[in-house]
Amino acid sequence: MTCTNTHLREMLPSFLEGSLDAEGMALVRGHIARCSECSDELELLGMMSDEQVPDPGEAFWAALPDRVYRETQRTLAEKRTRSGWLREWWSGMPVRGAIAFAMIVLVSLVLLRPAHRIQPETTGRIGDTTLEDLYDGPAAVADLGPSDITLLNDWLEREITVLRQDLGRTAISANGFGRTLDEDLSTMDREELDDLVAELSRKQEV
Amino acid sequence: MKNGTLMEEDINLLDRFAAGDREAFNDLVRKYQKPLYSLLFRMVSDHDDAADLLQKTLVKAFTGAGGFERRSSFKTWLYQIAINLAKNLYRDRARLAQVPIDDVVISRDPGTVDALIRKQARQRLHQAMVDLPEKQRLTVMLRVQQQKSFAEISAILGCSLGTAKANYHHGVRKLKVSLADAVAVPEKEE
Repeated sequence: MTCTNTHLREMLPSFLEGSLDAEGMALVRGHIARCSECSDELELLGMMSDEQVPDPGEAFWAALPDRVYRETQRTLAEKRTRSGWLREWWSGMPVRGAIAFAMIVLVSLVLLRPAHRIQPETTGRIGDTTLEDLYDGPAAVADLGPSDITLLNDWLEREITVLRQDLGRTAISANGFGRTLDEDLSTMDREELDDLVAELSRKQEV
Repeated sequence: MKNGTLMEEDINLLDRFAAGDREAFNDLVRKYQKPLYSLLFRMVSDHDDAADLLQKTLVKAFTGAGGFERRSSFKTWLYQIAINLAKNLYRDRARLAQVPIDDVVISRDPGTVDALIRKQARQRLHQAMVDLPEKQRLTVMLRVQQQKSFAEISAILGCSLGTAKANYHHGVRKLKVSLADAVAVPEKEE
């Protein structure tokens, strides 16, 4: 016959330890007196709990806390060293990453930069700005805005002035005066000035 | 309430240890060294192995104290570590020796038989324990030999209360059947 009083059977180990209260002890005692199965089970449990574990001795127990403490400290120190190295390595990561990224960008720019453009011969400048800076290739006048027109006009004025000066020098030199417009005209006598005016008038007519 | 107080006491000792109190450390070790050794010896049946596992259990508990979530008791946590380390030892040895785990667990003669007349019965009991599935064996061991409550066993083995009770009942029933068979066989032979 199988005992179905599982609650009581679960109390058997506590009964064996004597850890039940008086009521519980009496309950189990009364049950095992009637139930051979629980009585056998109690005997089996008693045999198991009676099995002795050899005592390693007082010296073993006394030394254990120190031994465990030393080993614990050693393990914790190892952990700290490992985590310190890891933290240092990890904390340097953003800087290293930024440097690596910058180098990659730099190398990419050098390698992928477009071929150097052939510079036009014109070197006219408007202030510090060259025409090449302003216009990348031919542009239709209709596409230019008012500010572009102004800049272009300034540049043309400068260019024409330079050309006129060159032209004047050439004309005067070619005329055999041995003087240029750079010279102070106040040093010329009346006759030389008349000749110069006449020559310029003639050039203008041409 | 009693368990709650014990838990608080252990937590207090752990906090003091974390703050550098060496005496708190010693108190915790002294409190659990004997019950843990007893459990480990019953699992491995060898003093050197049990002593080694005991030290490893305590060191692991204290070095990993930061990972102890305090949802269960420190004692339960210690038992979980001890049982896992012992299981690992079985597995390593079983792998090296290429023998089944169950042949290693609790298979040695305890050598501490207190009465000659009970020696044979104890050997049968050992064999019957060896034949139990691991969870049933651990449950019976914790309940009968370590005097743990079913609630504690369920926390240590990570199972429900019902499963812990079922494992206990199945384990004890199998032990009884095994012992009865062991007695019955010689009678038939005669």
